[in-house]
Amino acid sequence: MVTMTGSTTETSAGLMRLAADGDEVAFAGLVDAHHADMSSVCFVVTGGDVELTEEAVQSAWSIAWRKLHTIRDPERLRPWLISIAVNEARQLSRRRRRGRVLEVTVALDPSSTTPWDPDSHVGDIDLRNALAGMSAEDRALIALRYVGGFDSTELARALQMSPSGTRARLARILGRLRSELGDG
Amino acid sequence: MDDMTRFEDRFEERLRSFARTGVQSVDSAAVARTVAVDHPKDAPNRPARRRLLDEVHRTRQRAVFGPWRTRSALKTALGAAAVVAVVALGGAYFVIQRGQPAVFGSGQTPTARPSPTPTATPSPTPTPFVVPGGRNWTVTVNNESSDPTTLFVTEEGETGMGRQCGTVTPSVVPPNTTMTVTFLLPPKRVTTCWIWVNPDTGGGSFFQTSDAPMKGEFLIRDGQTMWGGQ
Repeated sequence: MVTMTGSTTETSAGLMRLAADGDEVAFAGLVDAHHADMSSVCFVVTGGDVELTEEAVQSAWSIAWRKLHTIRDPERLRPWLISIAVNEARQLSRRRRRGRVLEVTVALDPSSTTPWDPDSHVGDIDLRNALAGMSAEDRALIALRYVGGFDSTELARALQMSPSGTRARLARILGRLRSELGDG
Repeated sequence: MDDMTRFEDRFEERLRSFARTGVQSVDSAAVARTVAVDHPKDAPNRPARRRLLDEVHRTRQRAVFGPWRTRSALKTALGAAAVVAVVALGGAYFVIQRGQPAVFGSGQTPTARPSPTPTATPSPTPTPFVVPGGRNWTVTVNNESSDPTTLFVTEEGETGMGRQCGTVTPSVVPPNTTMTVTFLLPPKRVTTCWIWVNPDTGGGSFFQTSDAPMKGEFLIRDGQTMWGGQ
Protein backbone atom coordinates (compact mmCIF):
# COMPACT_ATOMS: atom_id res chain seq x y z
CA MET A 1 0.00 0.00 0.00
CA VAL A 2 1.42 3.35 -1.02
CA THR A 3 0.50 6.28 1.14
CA MET A 4 0.88 9.77 -0.24
CA THR A 5 2.34 11.29 2.92
CA GLY A 6 5.76 12.73 3.62
CA SER A 7 7.76 14.86 1.24
CA THR A 8 7.21 14.67 -2.48
CA THR A 9 10.72 13.41 -3.01
CA GLU A 10 10.33 10.65 -0.44
CA THR A 11 7.03 9.62 -1.93
CA SER A 12 8.45 9.69 -5.41
CA ALA A 13 11.47 7.68 -4.35
CA GLY A 14 9.24 5.11 -2.69
CA LEU A 15 6.99 4.82 -5.69
CA MET A 16 10.00 4.53 -7.98
CA ARG A 17 11.51 1.75 -5.93
CA LEU A 18 8.28 -0.23 -5.70
CA ALA A 19 7.40 0.32 -9.34
CA ALA A 20 10.87 -0.74 -10.46
CA ASP A 21 10.26 -3.99 -8.58
CA GLY A 22 7.07 -4.57 -10.49
CA ASP A 23 4.47 -3.04 -8.20
CA GLU A 24 1.60 -1.94 -10.43
CA VAL A 25 -0.09 0.17 -7.77
CA ALA A 26 3.08 2.18 -7.31
CA PHE A 27 3.46 2.51 -11.05
CA ALA A 28 -0.11 3.78 -11.28
CA GLY A 29 0.91 6.41 -8.73
CA LEU A 30 3.68 7.56 -11.04
CA VAL A 31 1.23 7.69 -13.93
CA ASP A 32 -1.10 9.83 -11.82
CA ALA A 33 1.71 12.20 -10.93
CA HIS A 34 3.32 12.66 -14.35
CA HIS A 35 0.85 11.82 -17.11
CA ALA A 36 -0.48 15.36 -17.50
CA ASP A 37 3.01 16.89 -17.74
CA MET A 38 4.07 14.32 -20.33
CA SER A 39 0.88 14.84 -22.35
CA SER A 40 1.07 18.62 -22.43
CA VAL A 41 4.68 18.61 -23.62
CA CYS A 42 3.99 15.92 -26.23
CA PHE A 43 0.94 17.82 -27.48
CA VAL A 44 3.23 20.65 -28.54
CA VAL A 45 5.81 18.27 -30.00
CA THR A 46 3.16 16.65 -32.20
CA GLY A 47 1.91 20.06 -33.30
CA GLY A 48 -1.42 19.63 -31.52
CA ASP A 49 -2.24 16.08 -32.57
CA VAL A 50 -4.27 14.43 -29.80
CA GLU A 51 -3.98 10.94 -31.20
CA LEU A 52 -0.20 11.08 -31.64
CA THR A 53 0.14 12.60 -28.19
CA GLU A 54 -1.80 9.77 -26.62
CA GLU A 55 0.19 7.17 -28.50
CA ALA A 56 3.52 8.77 -27.58
CA VAL A 57 2.71 8.95 -23.88
CA GLN A 58 1.40 5.41 -23.77
CA SER A 59 4.54 4.20 -25.47
CA ALA A 60 6.62 6.19 -23.00
CA TRP A 61 4.95 4.51 -20.05
CA SER A 62 5.75 1.15 -21.54
CA ILE A 63 9.43 2.09 -21.83
CA ALA A 64 9.42 3.57 -18.34
CA TRP A 65 8.04 0.36 -16.88
CA ARG A 66 10.88 -1.61 -18.41
CA LYS A 67 13.71 0.83 -17.65
CA LEU A 68 12.65 2.41 -14.39
CA HIS A 69 15.29 0.43 -12.52
CA THR A 70 17.99 2.46 -14.30
CA ILE A 71 16.94 5.67 -12.53
CA ARG A 72 18.34 6.08 -9.04
CA ASP A 73 17.76 9.74 -8.28
CA PRO A 74 14.09 10.71 -7.71
CA GLU A 75 14.89 14.24 -8.89
CA ARG A 76 15.71 12.81 -12.31
CA LEU A 77 12.40 11.00 -12.66
CA ARG A 78 10.28 13.83 -14.09
CA PRO A 79 12.78 14.96 -16.75
CA TRP A 80 13.51 11.33 -17.60
CA LEU A 81 9.85 10.49 -18.14
CA ILE A 82 9.19 13.63 -20.15
CA SER A 83 12.29 13.03 -22.26
CA ILE A 84 11.16 9.52 -23.11
CA ALA A 85 7.72 10.78 -24.07
CA VAL A 86 9.18 13.57 -26.18
CA ASN A 87 11.45 11.13 -28.01
CA GLU A 88 8.45 8.98 -28.80
CA ALA A 89 6.47 11.99 -29.96
CA ARG A 90 9.32 13.18 -32.19
CA GLN A 91 9.62 9.81 -33.85
CA LEU A 92 5.88 9.43 -34.34
CA SER A 93 5.64 12.96 -35.75
CA ARG A 94 8.43 12.33 -38.23
CA ARG A 95 6.85 9.10 -39.42
CA ARG A 96 3.47 10.68 -39.95
CA ARG A 97 4.63 13.98 -41.41
CA ARG A 98 4.26 12.92 -45.01
CA GLY A 99 0.74 12.93 -46.34
CA ARG A 100 -0.84 14.54 -43.34
CA VAL A 101 -3.26 17.36 -43.88
CA LEU A 102 -3.07 20.12 -41.35
CA GLU A 103 -6.34 20.26 -39.52
CA VAL A 104 -6.85 23.82 -38.41
CA THR A 105 -9.13 23.67 -35.43
CA VAL A 106 -9.62 25.89 -32.48
CA ALA A 107 -8.37 24.23 -29.34
CA LEU A 108 -10.26 25.16 -26.21
CA ASP A 109 -8.48 25.12 -22.89
CA PRO A 110 -10.75 23.11 -20.55
CA SER A 111 -9.24 24.77 -17.52
CA SER A 112 -9.94 28.25 -18.82
CA THR A 113 -12.65 30.23 -17.06
CA THR A 114 -12.55 33.21 -19.39
CA PRO A 115 -15.24 33.72 -22.05
CA TRP A 116 -14.54 32.69 -25.63
CA ASP A 117 -12.50 35.38 -27.29
CA PRO A 118 -12.33 35.30 -31.11
CA ASP A 119 -9.07 37.27 -31.18
CA SER A 120 -7.27 34.91 -28.87
CA HIS A 121 -8.45 31.89 -30.85
CA VAL A 122 -7.24 33.37 -34.09
CA GLY A 123 -3.99 33.53 -32.17
CA ASP A 124 -4.31 29.82 -31.35
CA ILE A 125 -4.66 29.02 -35.03
CA ASP A 126 -1.61 31.14 -35.80
CA LEU A 127 0.30 29.28 -33.12
CA ARG A 128 -0.85 25.92 -34.46
CA ASN A 129 0.23 26.88 -37.97
CA ALA A 130 3.57 28.11 -36.71
CA LEU A 131 4.11 24.79 -34.93
CA ALA A 132 3.10 22.88 -38.05
CA GLY A 133 5.80 24.70 -40.00
CA MET A 134 8.52 23.63 -37.58
CA SER A 135 10.43 20.36 -37.41
CA ALA A 136 9.57 17.91 -34.64
CA GLU A 137 13.00 18.63 -33.15
CA ASP A 138 12.33 22.35 -32.92
CA ARG A 139 8.89 21.74 -31.44
CA ALA A 140 10.49 19.42 -28.90
CA LEU A 141 12.92 22.13 -27.92
CA ILE A 142 10.30 24.80 -27.26
CA ALA A 143 7.93 22.29 -25.63
CA LEU A 144 10.56 21.15 -23.17
CA ARG A 145 11.70 24.69 -22.46
CA TYR A 146 8.40 26.51 -22.10
CA VAL A 147 5.94 23.75 -21.15
CA GLY A 148 8.23 21.28 -19.42
CA GLY A 149 10.26 24.01 -17.75
CA PHE A 150 13.60 22.38 -18.60
CA ASP A 151 16.77 24.42 -18.09
CA SER A 152 19.54 24.41 -20.70
CA THR A 153 21.36 21.47 -19.09
CA GLU A 154 18.20 19.37 -18.97
CA LEU A 155 17.37 20.41 -22.52
CA ALA A 156 20.78 19.36 -23.74
CA ARG A 157 20.46 16.00 -22.04
CA ALA A 158 16.93 15.39 -23.30
CA LEU A 159 17.61 16.44 -26.87
CA GLN A 160 21.08 14.98 -27.00
CA MET A 161 22.69 18.25 -27.98
CA SER A 162 25.33 20.44 -26.41
CA PRO A 163 24.00 23.13 -24.01
CA SER A 164 25.45 25.88 -26.18
CA GLY A 165 23.91 24.37 -29.29
CA THR A 166 20.59 24.17 -27.49
CA ARG A 167 20.68 27.84 -26.53
CA ALA A 168 21.64 28.93 -30.03
CA ARG A 169 18.93 26.84 -31.60
CA LEU A 170 16.33 28.16 -29.17
CA ALA A 171 17.28 31.73 -30.02
CA ARG A 172 16.92 31.02 -33.74
CA ILE A 173 13.49 29.45 -33.23
CA LEU A 174 12.28 32.35 -31.11
CA GLY A 175 13.43 34.86 -33.69
CA ARG A 176 11.56 33.02 -36.40
CA LEU A 177 8.42 32.68 -34.28
CA ARG A 178 8.46 36.36 -33.45
CA SER A 179 8.43 37.28 -37.11
CA GLU A 180 5.64 34.76 -37.81
CA LEU A 181 3.44 35.51 -34.83
CA GLY A 182 4.20 39.16 -34.39
CA ASP A 183 4.97 40.50 -30.96
CA GLY A 184 1.83 39.03 -29.42
CA MET B 1 13.17 44.05 -20.21
CA ASP B 2 13.87 44.04 -23.97
CA ASP B 3 11.38 43.29 -26.74
CA MET B 4 12.58 39.74 -27.24
CA THR B 5 12.24 38.93 -23.55
CA ARG B 6 8.71 40.34 -23.55
CA PHE B 7 7.88 38.27 -26.61
CA GLU B 8 9.34 35.17 -24.95
CA ASP B 9 7.19 35.68 -21.86
CA ARG B 10 4.01 36.11 -23.89
CA PHE B 11 4.89 33.17 -26.10
CA GLU B 12 5.47 30.96 -23.07
CA GLU B 13 2.05 31.87 -21.70
CA ARG B 14 0.35 31.13 -25.03
CA LEU B 15 2.18 27.85 -25.51
CA ARG B 16 1.32 26.62 -22.02
CA SER B 17 -2.32 27.44 -22.53
CA PHE B 18 -2.26 25.60 -25.85
CA ALA B 19 -0.46 22.61 -24.30
CA ARG B 20 -3.08 22.22 -21.59
CA THR B 21 -5.71 21.54 -24.23
CA GLY B 22 -3.88 18.35 -25.16
CA VAL B 23 -4.13 16.73 -21.74
CA GLN B 24 -6.61 13.86 -21.70
CA SER B 25 -7.78 12.15 -18.54
CA VAL B 26 -6.33 8.70 -18.06
CA ASP B 27 -7.09 5.63 -15.99
CA SER B 28 -3.71 5.26 -14.31
CA ALA B 29 -4.48 1.79 -12.96
CA ALA B 30 -5.36 0.63 -16.46
CA VAL B 31 -2.12 2.04 -17.85
CA ALA B 32 -0.13 0.23 -15.16
CA ARG B 33 -2.05 -2.98 -15.73
CA THR B 34 -1.48 -2.89 -19.46
CA VAL B 35 2.26 -2.30 -19.31
CA ALA B 36 2.60 -4.99 -16.67
CA VAL B 37 0.74 -7.49 -18.82
CA ASP B 38 2.74 -6.53 -21.91
CA HIS B 39 6.08 -6.63 -20.10
CA PRO B 40 5.90 -8.89 -17.05
CA LYS B 41 8.76 -8.48 -14.60
CA ASP B 42 10.52 -11.22 -12.69
CA ALA B 43 11.69 -9.15 -9.79
CA PRO B 44 12.88 -11.30 -6.88
CA ASN B 45 10.58 -9.68 -4.35
CA ARG B 46 7.54 -9.73 -6.53
CA PRO B 47 4.68 -11.30 -4.57
CA ALA B 48 3.60 -14.66 -5.83
CA ARG B 49 0.00 -13.64 -5.46
CA ARG B 50 0.49 -10.94 -8.09
CA ARG B 51 1.57 -13.55 -10.60
CA LEU B 52 -1.60 -15.41 -9.86
CA LEU B 53 -3.62 -12.22 -10.27
CA ASP B 54 -1.88 -11.61 -13.58
CA GLU B 55 -3.37 -14.81 -14.89
CA VAL B 56 -6.78 -14.26 -13.34
CA HIS B 57 -7.17 -10.73 -14.67
CA ARG B 58 -5.29 -10.98 -17.93
CA THR B 59 -8.26 -11.52 -20.21
CA ARG B 60 -10.60 -9.15 -18.43
CA GLN B 61 -8.14 -6.31 -18.07
CA ARG B 62 -6.94 -6.34 -21.65
CA ALA B 63 -10.16 -4.70 -22.70
CA VAL B 64 -9.63 -1.77 -20.35
CA PHE B 65 -7.07 -0.05 -22.51
CA GLY B 66 -8.21 -1.34 -25.84
CA PRO B 67 -6.83 1.31 -28.19
CA TRP B 68 -3.32 0.96 -26.78
CA ARG B 69 -3.28 -2.78 -27.28
CA THR B 70 -4.65 -2.35 -30.74
CA ARG B 71 -1.85 0.03 -31.59
CA SER B 72 0.70 -2.30 -30.04
CA ALA B 73 -0.57 -5.11 -32.21
CA LEU B 74 -0.51 -2.84 -35.23
CA LYS B 75 3.04 -1.79 -34.41
CA THR B 76 4.10 -5.41 -34.14
CA ALA B 77 2.51 -6.17 -37.48
CA LEU B 78 4.15 -3.14 -39.09
CA GLY B 79 7.46 -4.11 -37.51
CA ALA B 80 7.20 -7.59 -38.96
CA ALA B 81 6.32 -6.13 -42.35
CA ALA B 82 9.31 -3.79 -42.08
CA VAL B 83 11.60 -6.74 -41.35
CA VAL B 84 10.33 -8.52 -44.45
CA ALA B 85 10.76 -5.35 -46.52
CA VAL B 86 14.28 -4.71 -45.22
CA VAL B 87 15.32 -8.30 -45.87
CA ALA B 88 13.85 -8.17 -49.36
CA LEU B 89 15.42 -4.81 -50.20
CA GLY B 90 18.73 -5.79 -48.64
CA GLY B 91 18.84 -8.95 -50.71
CA ALA B 92 18.08 -7.06 -53.90
CA TYR B 93 20.68 -4.43 -53.08
CA PHE B 94 23.31 -7.05 -52.40
CA VAL B 95 22.66 -8.68 -55.76
CA ILE B 96 23.03 -5.35 -57.55
CA GLN B 97 26.22 -4.40 -55.69
CA ARG B 98 27.95 -7.67 -56.39
CA GLY B 99 28.25 -6.83 -60.08
CA GLN B 100 29.74 -3.37 -59.52
CA PRO B 101 33.39 -2.44 -58.95
CA ALA B 102 34.32 -1.09 -55.50
CA VAL B 103 35.56 2.40 -56.32
CA PHE B 104 34.99 4.27 -53.08
CA GLY B 105 37.38 5.08 -50.25
CA SER B 106 37.41 3.71 -46.74
CA GLY B 107 34.49 3.89 -44.35
CA GLN B 108 32.00 1.76 -42.57
CA THR B 109 28.28 1.59 -42.23
CA PRO B 110 26.59 0.30 -39.06
CA THR B 111 25.38 -3.24 -39.29
CA ALA B 112 24.20 -4.10 -35.77
CA ARG B 113 20.60 -3.20 -35.10
CA PRO B 114 19.61 -4.35 -31.63
CA SER B 115 15.93 -3.42 -31.90
CA PRO B 116 13.62 -6.42 -31.81
CA THR B 117 11.33 -4.66 -34.29
CA PRO B 118 13.62 -2.82 -36.69
CA THR B 119 12.12 -0.08 -38.78
CA ALA B 120 12.72 0.52 -42.44
CA THR B 121 15.73 2.79 -41.97
CA PRO B 122 18.67 2.99 -44.38
CA SER B 123 19.56 -0.38 -45.75
CA PRO B 124 23.07 -1.72 -45.17
CA THR B 125 25.63 -0.57 -47.70
CA PRO B 126 28.07 -3.36 -48.48
CA THR B 127 30.60 -1.05 -50.18
CA PRO B 128 32.58 1.72 -48.48
CA PHE B 129 31.10 5.18 -48.62
CA VAL B 130 32.70 8.33 -49.97
CA VAL B 131 32.17 11.76 -48.42
CA PRO B 132 33.17 14.60 -50.79
CA GLY B 133 35.37 17.05 -48.90
CA GLY B 134 35.05 14.82 -45.85
CA ARG B 135 36.84 15.43 -42.57
CA ASN B 136 37.67 13.06 -39.74
CA TRP B 137 36.58 13.52 -36.14
CA THR B 138 37.74 11.08 -33.49
CA VAL B 139 35.78 11.09 -30.26
CA THR B 140 35.22 8.90 -27.20
CA VAL B 141 32.00 6.98 -26.72
CA ASN B 142 31.35 5.88 -23.15
CA ASN B 143 28.58 3.30 -23.26
CA GLU B 144 27.57 2.69 -19.65
CA SER B 145 24.36 0.94 -20.61
CA SER B 146 23.74 -2.77 -20.81
CA ASP B 147 22.87 -2.60 -24.49
CA PRO B 148 25.11 -2.00 -27.51
CA THR B 149 25.17 1.56 -28.81
CA THR B 150 24.79 2.05 -32.53
CA LEU B 151 25.92 5.17 -34.39
CA PHE B 152 24.87 6.48 -37.79
CA VAL B 153 25.56 9.53 -39.92
CA THR B 154 22.57 10.37 -42.08
CA GLU B 155 20.25 13.17 -43.07
CA GLU B 156 16.83 13.41 -41.51
CA GLY B 157 14.24 11.53 -43.51
CA GLU B 158 10.48 11.47 -43.50
CA THR B 159 10.39 8.33 -41.39
CA GLY B 160 13.50 8.79 -39.27
CA MET B 161 16.95 8.45 -40.72
CA GLY B 162 17.38 9.55 -44.31
CA ARG B 163 20.20 9.37 -46.83
CA GLN B 164 23.63 8.46 -45.53
CA CYS B 165 25.96 11.46 -45.44
CA GLY B 166 28.97 10.20 -43.50
CA THR B 167 30.47 7.18 -41.79
CA VAL B 168 31.58 6.08 -38.35
CA THR B 169 34.12 3.42 -37.49
CA PRO B 170 33.39 1.37 -35.50
CA SER B 171 29.66 1.91 -35.60
CA VAL B 172 28.75 -0.29 -32.63
CA VAL B 173 30.03 0.20 -29.10
CA PRO B 174 29.45 -2.89 -26.94
CA PRO B 175 27.68 -2.64 -23.56
CA ASN B 176 29.68 -1.21 -20.66
CA THR B 177 32.54 -0.25 -22.95
CA THR B 178 34.43 2.96 -23.59
CA MET B 179 36.12 3.31 -26.94
CA THR B 180 37.09 5.91 -29.51
CA VAL B 181 35.28 6.07 -32.81
CA THR B 182 36.18 8.01 -35.93
CA PHE B 183 33.56 9.86 -37.89
CA LEU B 184 34.00 10.80 -41.51
CA LEU B 185 31.81 13.89 -41.77
CA PRO B 186 30.87 16.22 -44.60
CA PRO B 187 32.31 19.76 -44.62
CA LYS B 188 31.11 22.14 -41.90
CA ARG B 189 29.05 24.13 -44.39
CA VAL B 190 26.73 21.13 -44.77
CA THR B 191 23.88 21.60 -42.27
CA THR B 192 21.63 18.73 -43.28
CA CYS B 193 23.75 15.91 -41.92
CA TRP B 194 23.18 14.47 -38.43
CA ILE B 195 24.85 12.07 -36.05
CA TRP B 196 22.33 9.55 -34.75
CA VAL B 197 22.66 7.45 -31.63
CA ASN B 198 20.51 4.35 -31.05
CA PRO B 199 17.74 5.45 -33.39
CA ASP B 200 16.01 2.09 -33.13
CA THR B 201 15.88 1.93 -29.37
CA GLY B 202 14.53 5.27 -28.26
CA GLY B 203 17.42 7.49 -29.36
CA GLY B 204 17.51 9.71 -32.40
CA SER B 205 19.37 12.49 -34.13
CA PHE B 206 21.99 13.69 -31.69
CA PHE B 207 23.45 16.80 -33.26
CA GLN B 208 24.25 18.28 -36.64
CA THR B 209 27.62 17.31 -38.05
CA SER B 210 28.22 21.02 -38.69
CA ASP B 211 28.52 21.44 -34.89
CA ALA B 212 31.49 19.05 -34.83
CA PRO B 213 34.22 18.98 -33.77
CA MET B 214 33.37 19.71 -30.15
CA LYS B 215 35.32 18.97 -27.02
CA GLY B 216 33.78 16.21 -24.95
CA GLU B 217 32.50 12.69 -25.26
CA PHE B 218 29.35 10.69 -25.82
CA LEU B 219 27.87 9.20 -22.68
CA ILE B 220 25.11 6.60 -22.95
CA ARG B 221 23.42 5.96 -19.64
CA ASP B 222 19.92 5.17 -18.34
CA GLY B 223 18.67 4.67 -21.88
CA GLN B 224 19.70 8.20 -22.83
CA THR B 225 22.57 9.68 -24.74
CA MET B 226 24.31 12.71 -23.30
CA TRP B 227 27.16 14.90 -24.35
CA GLY B 228 29.81 15.48 -21.72
CA GLY B 229 31.52 18.74 -22.63
CA GLN B 230 34.98 19.69 -21.43
